[in-house]
Amino acid sequence: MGWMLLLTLAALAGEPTLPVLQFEAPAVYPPAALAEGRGASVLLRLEVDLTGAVTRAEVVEPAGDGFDEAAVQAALNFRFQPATDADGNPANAIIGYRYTFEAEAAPVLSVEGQVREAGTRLPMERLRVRLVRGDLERVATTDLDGRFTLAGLDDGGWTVIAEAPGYTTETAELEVERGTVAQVTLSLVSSRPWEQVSEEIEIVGRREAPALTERVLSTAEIRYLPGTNGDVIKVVQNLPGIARPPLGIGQLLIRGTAPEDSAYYLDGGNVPIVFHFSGLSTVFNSDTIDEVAFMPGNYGVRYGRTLGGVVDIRTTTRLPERSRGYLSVDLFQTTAFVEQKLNDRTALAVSGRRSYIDAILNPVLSNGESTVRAPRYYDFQTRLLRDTGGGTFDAMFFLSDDRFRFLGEDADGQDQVQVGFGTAFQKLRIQSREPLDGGWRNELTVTGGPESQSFAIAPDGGAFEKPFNVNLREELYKGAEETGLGWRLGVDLQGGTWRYEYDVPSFRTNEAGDVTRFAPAAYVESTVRAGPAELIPGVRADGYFLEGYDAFAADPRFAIRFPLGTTVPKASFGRYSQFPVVREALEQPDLKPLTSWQTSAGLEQRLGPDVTAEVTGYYNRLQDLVVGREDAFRFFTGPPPAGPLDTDDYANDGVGNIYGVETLLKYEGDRTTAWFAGTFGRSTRVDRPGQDERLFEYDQPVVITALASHQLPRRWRLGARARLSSGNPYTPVVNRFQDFDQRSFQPVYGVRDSERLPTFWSLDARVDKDWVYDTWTLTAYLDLQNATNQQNVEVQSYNYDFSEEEPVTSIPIVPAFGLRGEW
Amino acid sequence: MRTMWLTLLMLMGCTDGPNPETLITDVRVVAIVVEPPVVAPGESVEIATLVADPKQRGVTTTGWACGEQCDVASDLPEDGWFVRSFTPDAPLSYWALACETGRCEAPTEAELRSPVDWMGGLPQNAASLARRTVPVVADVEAANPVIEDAPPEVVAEPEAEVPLLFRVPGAEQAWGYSTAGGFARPVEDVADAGDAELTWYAPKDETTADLYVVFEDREGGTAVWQGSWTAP
Repeated sequence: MGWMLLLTLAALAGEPTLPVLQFEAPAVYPPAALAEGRGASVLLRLEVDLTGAVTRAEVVEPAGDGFDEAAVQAALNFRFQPATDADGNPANAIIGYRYTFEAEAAPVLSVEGQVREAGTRLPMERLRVRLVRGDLERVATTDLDGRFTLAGLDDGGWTVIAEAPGYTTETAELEVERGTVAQVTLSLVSSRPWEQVSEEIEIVGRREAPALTERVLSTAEIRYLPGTNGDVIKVVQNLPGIARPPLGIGQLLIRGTAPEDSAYYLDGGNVPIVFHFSGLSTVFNSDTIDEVAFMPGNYGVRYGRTLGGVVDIRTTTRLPERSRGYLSVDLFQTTAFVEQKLNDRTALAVSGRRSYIDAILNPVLSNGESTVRAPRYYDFQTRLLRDTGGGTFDAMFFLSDDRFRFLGEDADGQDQVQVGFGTAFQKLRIQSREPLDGGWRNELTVTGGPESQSFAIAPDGGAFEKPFNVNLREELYKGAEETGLGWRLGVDLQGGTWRYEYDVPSFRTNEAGDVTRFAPAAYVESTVRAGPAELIPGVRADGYFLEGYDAFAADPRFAIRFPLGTTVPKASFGRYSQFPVVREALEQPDLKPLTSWQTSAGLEQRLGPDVTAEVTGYYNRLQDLVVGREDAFRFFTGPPPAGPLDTDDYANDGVGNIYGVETLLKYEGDRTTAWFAGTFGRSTRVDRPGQDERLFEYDQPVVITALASHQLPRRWRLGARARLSSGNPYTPVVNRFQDFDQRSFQPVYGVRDSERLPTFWSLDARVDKDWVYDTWTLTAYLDLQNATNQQNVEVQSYNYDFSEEEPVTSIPIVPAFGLRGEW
Repeated sequence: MRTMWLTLLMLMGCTDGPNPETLITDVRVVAIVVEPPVVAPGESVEIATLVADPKQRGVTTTGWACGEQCDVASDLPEDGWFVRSFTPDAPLSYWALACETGRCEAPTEAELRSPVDWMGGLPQNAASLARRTVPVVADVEAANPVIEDAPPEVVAEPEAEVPLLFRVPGAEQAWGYSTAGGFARPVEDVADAGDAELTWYAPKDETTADLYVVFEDREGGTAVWQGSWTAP
C-alpha cells in the first residue's frame, strides 16, 4: 500500500507544511474480493483537522465491490501530524489519498459488532463507534444494519463506546486476540422515549368526506391513553360525535342514532361487531391496524346502507421493519402477537386474545342458588401480507367469539342455563391493491364468512340469527393531486343467507326463516380542485333484494373544502339510505328504505404549532323510519322499548330530527397529548303522524371528554380522562298491575322517554412505567377506571313489583393492573 | 345486548332469609280463582278475587270484563273475597281492582276498557290491579286442585323459622305471601304426590300476620290456603 499527495488547501502564505501520515489504519478487506484474490485502488478526499484527525473522508474515484466503504472506514482512523500555516501553527487541510488494496497483504479482521436500539432491536445506522485503548482510538461507522467491523487492531483489551443524540452512552470491554474475531453488541437506551416512535397509526377523525379531515396519533400515544386499554379503536369513543353507551358496553352511539344504524368495516368490508361484549377491548389487534377512520356523518359514497356513522378499520399495507411480537397480561385478558418477516416481500402476523373475566368474577357474582358465567371472549387473527412491487396482496383470517351465561340449578341440582348469550363470527378477507397507469389505483376486497348471535332463556326459550355474508368491493381511485380532477368509481356487493329463529314463549315470540339476500351498490365520486377549493360531488345507487322484497335508493352527496391559510371551512350535504331489517321486510314488502338527509358545516383552525381546533354543526332529517310491531323483547337489534308498545303493522311513518355542534380542541406536544371533545346536540323522533315529538332513547344533549397524557422522566407516563354526559332518557313506571296469566307484575308506564337519568361523570387515571432491556421492553401499568368510585346511574331498574326504583349503577372503581413484554 | 344486561341484573337479586317479594305491605290482589278454571261456551263461571288489606283501612273491590258492553260491579270483600259470576261465549279477560275505600273514583267506560291507562292515574300504594283470562273451550273438563292437608294453625315464636307442610294433588307450584315476616322463597315446586313444604319466617316486631299460600297447576287451576299467626 502507499499513498500520494495531490492537493493542499491550507493557508498558503509563507512555507506551510502538509499533514504527515503517522498511523495508517488497515482497512477491512471486502470478504468476497479477498476470497477471489482481487485487489483495488480507491481515491479519497480527506479533511484533516488541527489535531491531525480525519474528520471527513469521501470517495473521489470509486472501485466498487465494498472497497469504497472499507477505504473510507479505514481513512477515518488515520492519524496525521497536522498541517501548519506560514507561521508554523497547526492548520486544517484537505488532501487526496489513494488507498490500495492488495489481497496478499490483507489485514486480519479484529472486531465485528452491531449497535441497536434497546427494546426494539432496531439497527442504529450511520453511528460513530469508538474503540479506545489507552491513548489509542479507532473509529468505525455503522452500516444500514447497524453493523461495524475493524481490522488490524493490536492485541489486548479495548473499550467500545457507542454514542447517539437522545440515547444513553453504552460501553463494552472486549479482548482482541490475533487469529480470532471479537464480537460485540451494544444496545442504546433512548433517553427521549416520546421521540422513539418507530411506527404510527392514523386516527382519521370525523372525516366529512374523503381527505377533508385527518388527525394522526402515534401508537405510543394511544397505548397510554387512560380508559382505552391501549386499544386504538376504543380511542374513537373519545371523539366528538359519540355518545356514551350505557353500562360501558361496546357500542357506538353516533350522532343521535341507535347502534344498529351505524356500520363497521375492515378495509371496506363489513364486519358485524368491533367490540367484545364487555366493551373492554375490540375484536382486532391494534398492531395490525394502520388507521381508523371514524365518520359520524356526511361521509362519501364509498359507504352506504346506514343512517348513522361509519367506522372503517384499515390494516397496514407496509411490511414490518423487523420481526416482532409481544405478550400482554392484565386483569381481564391475555393477548399475544407475533409478526414474522418471511422474506423481503412477505410477512406473516398472528395474534390472539382470551379473556378470563369469568374466572375472576364467577365466584364473586355467584350465590348459593345461581351462578353467573361472566362474559368470556376470545379473538384470533392471522394475516399474510405480500409486497407485489408497488402494490400489495394480503389474506387475513379473523374470528371472534363472545359468550355469557347465567346458570341456575334444575330439579336434580345440575347447572341449567337461565340466560345465555353468544355472538361469534369467522371471516376470511382477501385484498389486492395495485397501481394502474395514469395515476389510477385498483383495490379489490372480498370478505366473507359466517356470523351468529344466539340467545337462550330458561326453561325452553331460544333465539338465533345466523347470517353468512359475502362482501365484494371493487374500487378504482385516482387522486386530484396532478390534474386537479380525481375520481372514485366502485361497486359494493353484499349477499348471503340469513337464518333466524325467535322462539321465546315467555315473550310470546315464535318466528323462523331462512332467506337469501343480495344488496348490490355502485358509486361514483369526483374530486374537483378549483384554486384552493376542493369540491366533491358523488352519487351512490343501492338495491336490496330479499325473497318477496325489493327496494332501491339513489343517494346524491356533495362536499366542499376551502382552505384559507390556517383556517379551513368545509360543508357537506347528502342523502343516506338504510334498508328495513329482514324481519320487517319479510312481513311488510312495501316498506321503503329509511332516509337521512344530512347537512354539516364547520371550520378547522390551526391555533399554533401544536394546537388545532375544529367546530362542526350538523342537522340530519330522518324520514320513512320503520315503526310498529314493537315487542317487549327485541332480538339483537337494539334496546328493548319501554312503555306502551306500538303493536300496529310495520309502516314508514317515523320521522326524526338530529342537530348539534361538535367541537374538538387538541394539543400535541413532544411529551404531552391532550384534547377536549364536546358534543352538544339533540335527537328526537315522531313515531306516527299526529303523535307528539319525543326524545330519542339515546339523546344526550351534552357529552364532554377531556383527556391528557404526559411523559415523565425515567420512562414514567401519567394520564387522566374526565367524562361528563347527560343521562339517557327513559320511560318512567308510574304504577303496576298483576298479570295472573303470566304470574308476574307488569309495569304501567308514563310518557315514553319523558324522564332522564342523572348526569354521568367519571375520572379515569393511568400510570405506566417502562423497563428497557437489550432485546425487549417490559411495561407495567395501572389503569384506574372510575377513580373516584362515582356511582353513576346507568339504567333505571325496578324491584319485583315495580313499586320501588332500583337504579343500576356503573362499575365501581376498577384498578386494572397489567404487564406487557414486547420484543 | 342491553336486554341481556337487564335480564342478568333482574336475576341477580337473590338473598337468604325472608324474601321481600313474599311480604304484602299494601292492599293487594293475592289470587283470582276461577271455578271451573276452563269453561265451555255458555256455561257459568264464578270468579273469586282474594284481597289482602294489611293496613286494615277498608278495601272496595271492583271486578269487570268487557265485551260489547262492560259488565262491572263493586263491593266490599267478605273475609277478603270478592266474587262475581259470568257466562262467557268467548275467552274472558277479567280485571279486578282493589282500592282503599274512597281513594279511587268510579271508573269511566274508557277506563274500564283501558285499565292499564287508568292505573297510571291511581295511587300506587292504595290500589292493586290484576288481570286473569278465563279460557272458554268446548268439551274440556277442568277442576281446581284441592287442598287435602294443611297446617291447622301457625304457632311460633317471633323470628322463628316455621315449616309449613301441605298436600295438594295436582298442584305444581305454591306461592307464599304474608302481611308480616315472610316466606323463604316466592314460589316452591310441588312434588308429584302434591306434597309441598314452605318455610315461613315469623316477624320480629309485629304481633299478627295473615298468611296466604296459592297453589297452581299451570293450567289455570288454583287453590288458596289462608292462615294467621299471633305472637304468643
